[in-house]
Amino acid sequence: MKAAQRGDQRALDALLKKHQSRIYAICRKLAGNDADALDATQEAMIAIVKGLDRFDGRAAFTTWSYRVATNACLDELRRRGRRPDPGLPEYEHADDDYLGGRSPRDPGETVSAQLDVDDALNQLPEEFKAPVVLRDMAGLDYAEIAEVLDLAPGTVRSRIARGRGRLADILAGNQNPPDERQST
Amino acid sequence: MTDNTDAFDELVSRYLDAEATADEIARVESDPALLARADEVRAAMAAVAAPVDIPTADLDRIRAAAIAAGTTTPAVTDLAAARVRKLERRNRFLAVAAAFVFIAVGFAAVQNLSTGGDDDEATDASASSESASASEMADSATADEALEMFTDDDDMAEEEADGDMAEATAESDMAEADDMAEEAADEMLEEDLATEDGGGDDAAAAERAGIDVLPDQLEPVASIDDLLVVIDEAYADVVDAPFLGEPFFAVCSEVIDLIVERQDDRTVNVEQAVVMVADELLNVIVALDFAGQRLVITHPIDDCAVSSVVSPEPP
Repeated sequence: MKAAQRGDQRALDALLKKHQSRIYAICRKLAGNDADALDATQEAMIAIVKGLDRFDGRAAFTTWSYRVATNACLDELRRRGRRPDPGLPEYEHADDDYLGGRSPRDPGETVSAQLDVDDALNQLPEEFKAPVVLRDMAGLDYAEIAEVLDLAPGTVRSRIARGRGRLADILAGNQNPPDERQST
Repeated sequence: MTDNTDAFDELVSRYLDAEATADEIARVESDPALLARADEVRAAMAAVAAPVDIPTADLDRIRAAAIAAGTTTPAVTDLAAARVRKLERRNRFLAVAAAFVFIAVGFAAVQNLSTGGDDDEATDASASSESASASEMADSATADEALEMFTDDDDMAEEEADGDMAEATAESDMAEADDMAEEAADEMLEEDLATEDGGGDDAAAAERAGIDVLPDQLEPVASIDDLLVVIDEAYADVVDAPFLGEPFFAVCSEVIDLIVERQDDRTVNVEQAVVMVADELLNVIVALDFAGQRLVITHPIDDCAVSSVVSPEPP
């Protein structure tokens, strides 16, 4: 870390290489598709490299880098301002299966399952999606997530709970959250 | 679902995170609806936690690009260059400030000459104005007044004192201008040192820029020969390069050794870029000497120890 902060490119490369997969995984879940995730990951890495001299070691590097990466990823997605399109070529096969009426939760259909999760996550408001991804995908605890997102721990718990609940409803086939369901 | 859905989901979430109290655990496990909800939420958590395919090659590429983009304007300040810049700025400010003071003094002197005898003038102006006013007064005044003018020690002393005060004022003005100039130069240096990105980084990079003709990341090529063609084309118009003072900034030691071995102390510019050569990600270094001769070195992006000279061929 110190060597990387001093400008040692080899140390910097090793540091980024160690964390790049997890940073990408977070961005992939937040972005919902590979292309946007790679762009967001690159923006996140650039932000980490440029901000490394400001890292003072008070927080764990993991927590700090996730904070930088999450903010960079969300900023990139806001700039793009679009949702992942289930009709993209990479999802064609999964789309056919999904449209064939098969259960979206069939554990044997990996691509379809990923599409479902991407689509479901994409329907979550940003304030729920980020804490859920950091908790359930990245495995951060509530205190770390609070630090990453600059929120109170109680707010983090509440948003994770509500985000998980909404996600469960969407994946179970209840497309509208309970408080938005219209009577027919 | 009832209006208590959010409250139930918070309870279920605590239960699944193993943060529920004993009572809460008992409540969930005794309620089929809550257990069913827990199953649904658990499935959602598992779906989010499902691993994603990691595109390692793409990540290696963008990692290299991020390092290149983030370190071409280094966060570490080149202190020697910063000191030179500070000195140059200070000298410029002092010159301008001195010019203003000189103009002000000169203007005052001219005014004194034209009005004839105002004692509140600067040193040079005082000296000339004294003689001018003395001769004028000698012409127009009575003999007694003229005698008084030239022999009155008190008057002379007073005029000398006034002249001294004017001189002191002028010197004080110069010193104040000097202090203001130095303070301004220090502020500009502080801004320089505090700059991290954006326009400030661009200004810093421009100030220390020598030769920078290669992009941070070159287009992929099939072979080293193709890479050398790209470098030749990029450097086609480069005749010479200004000496940066620290050409080896951010260059790893193994590469420095190779450069010094070939160019001795003639190196004036070193430029780096990242390039994919036949699916291998390399760092390419171009070292230019004062005769315009180029030395091209490459190494794998994460292994400086296997640096090798690719051009010119070893004798």
